[in-house]
This record gives sequence, C-alpha cells and structure tokens, in this order.
Amino acid sequence: MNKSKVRILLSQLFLCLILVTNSSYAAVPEIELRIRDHLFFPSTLEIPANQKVKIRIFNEDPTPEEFESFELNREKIIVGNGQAVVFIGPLEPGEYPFFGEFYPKTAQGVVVVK
Amino acid sequence: MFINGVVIVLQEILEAALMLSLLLSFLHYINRAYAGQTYMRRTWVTYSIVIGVLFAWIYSVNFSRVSEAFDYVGLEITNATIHSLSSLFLICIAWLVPSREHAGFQLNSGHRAQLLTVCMIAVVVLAILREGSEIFQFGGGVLGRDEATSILSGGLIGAGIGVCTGVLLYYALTGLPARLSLRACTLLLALTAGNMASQAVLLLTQADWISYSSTAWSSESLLSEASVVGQLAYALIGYESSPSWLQVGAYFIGGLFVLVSPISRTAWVNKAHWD
Repeated sequence: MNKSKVRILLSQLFLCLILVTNSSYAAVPEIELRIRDHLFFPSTLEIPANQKVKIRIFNEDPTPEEFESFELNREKIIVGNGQAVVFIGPLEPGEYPFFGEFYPKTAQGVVVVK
Repeated sequence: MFINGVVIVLQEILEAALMLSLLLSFLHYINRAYAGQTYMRRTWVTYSIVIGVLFAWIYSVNFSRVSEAFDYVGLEITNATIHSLSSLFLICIAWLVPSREHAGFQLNSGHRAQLLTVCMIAVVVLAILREGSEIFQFGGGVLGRDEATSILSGGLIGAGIGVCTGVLLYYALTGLPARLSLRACTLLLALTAGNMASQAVLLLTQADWISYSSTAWSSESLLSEASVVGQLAYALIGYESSPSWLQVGAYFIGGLFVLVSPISRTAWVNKAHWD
C-alpha cells in the first residue's frame, strides 16, 4: 500500500472511531459559567434532571483555575483569559458543589439539579 | 494560601512519587531474584525524571493551545491518551518482569531488561508529564502575586511530603518478606494499571467522546474523596467515591491484564519458585 492509501485508511478509521464513540448527536443544552476575581458567576447553576449539559467556562482572570467537583466527578484546568468545556450529567435531582482548586476560599459554586 | 500550595503540589507529586516507588520496588525484587547480580540498573530513573519535567514544561507552555483543540476538550483528550499509554506500559511491565513462568515467552535476559527499562522510563515520564504540567500551571499563576513566597514555600513542603511518602512506600514494599513483597507489588501494579484505564474513561466521558454510563455506587459517606485518607487512596489506587460503570469496567480490565501475567502466577500460584 502506498502512503496516501494508508493515510486515507487511517483517516477513515479515525472517523469511524469518532462516529462510534461520539454520542453528542442530539443538541446538548449549554450553560455559561464565568470566573472573575476568583469567583464563579453565577455561583448557582440550575440544570434539568436526567439531561446531559455542556458547561462552557470562561476564565476572565489572568491566572489559571481548576474547576473541580468530587460530587460531579469532574476536574479541569481553565487557562487564564481562556475558556473550556465540561460535560456533566445526566444527573439525579440534588445539589452538587464545585470549587476552584487553585482559589478554593473564594471560588465556590453549586450545580442544582431539578 | 500557604496550605493551598501544600495541598495542590502534594496531590500531584504524590501520584508520580508512588508510581516511581512501585517501579523501584519491582526493580528491587528483580535484582534480588537474580541473587547478587544486577539485572537492571537504576540510572534510567534520573534521566526519566529530567525528561518528564522537560515534557511537563513544554506541555504547560502549550496548555492554551491544547485546551482549545477538539472544541475546548483538548486537555481531556491529551490526558486520556497519557493515561491509556500509562496503563498499557504498566501491563507490559507485568508481562516483562522475569519469572520462571516464561515457557512460551522466550526473550533473552538482555532484551527483556532493555524492554523493561523502556517501559519503566515511559511510565515515569508520563506520570511526571501528567502531574508536573499541572504544577507548572499552578506555579505560573502564582508568580507575581503578593503571597507568592508563602504559596511556593507551601508547594515545596507539599513536594517534600509527597517524596517522603514515596520513600516510605518503597521501604514498606521492599522490607516485606520476598513473596509477600512480590504479591503487594503485583497487586499495586494491577490497581495502578486499572486506575489509569479508569481515569482515561472518565476524561473521555467528561469530553463527551464516550457515552455516559450511570454511577456504579456512592461511597462518599464511607470515605470522602476530600478527606486525607480519601486523597491518599486516590493517589495510590485511584479511589473514587462515585465511579461510573464504564470506569469500573475499565479498572477491572486494566487490573485483570496484570493479574493474568506470569509474574502474578509466580506471586500467588507457583510454590516451587519460593521453596
């Protein structure tokens, strides 16, 4: 097999892998969360129960922050003046606290699932 | 903020230090099994730490770029790759550790030692790359702030505690009687390989690259992940209070590959080896 054939085959395989593994065909509701002065805005996120949600986090501080939650089983660094995406759920109704690991004293929030 | 520096650096250093201790304990066992002869040297440890730190720095410098890739889940994809590779190399180590069970697995001892060394270097470099890049991120954000000295000295203390815990684990593992030591090392290797596979699954779920699977159980009330013991258990065996079924499955499969290796049979089944 020549190089271009191998390349085509590899890209097809990769595409298949994405199609098989990627589950986000249906539109996933997106909510925004902002980090400013090491605080989360809003600090309470309300999301529907039993539904996957995409959280887009904007870090407006120049310093990096780590979005972390033991209850949600999530952990992710958001670079300074950057953004990141975290998928959560589907979740049962309840409260799921999260915090900024680099500034845990101020950066606190909660996901309320209703 | 001092304590914050201690905790964050400790968490990251601990995982890498425990991983290194486990590999060194295996090396100790191997060299002991070859009564008096050095089957494998330890010079690779220094090189892998240096390479690991260098890679971690390069990764950290490019964090923004990586983060934006794949529609802002680039970090998850990269880290899941690192975790999967770690799991794979740990399984290779289990299969390469010399034992008397290698009937159908002929490799002369020179090649085996070389391959084993490559796998161990890979595991250490990947561990430092993973954990070190987060420390660089944290450290980079701290520089220039008023409390920088306080946080960084906290970080140094955290690093110190992490390294000491690793040293303690090494002496605990190597101080045991030979067979018990091998059992403990093999079991930890299985749990670590399982942990890496499970973390890869978690990261891919977080990025929505693999489907959601329901939570298998919740043991938060028994052992909180935020507690000191919970954190230690997380670093050592990847304890999570509410894992998903897919994570549990990946953990089990990763661990199983280690537990069916020849070295496990030596540790648990083969009596002749120990008489």
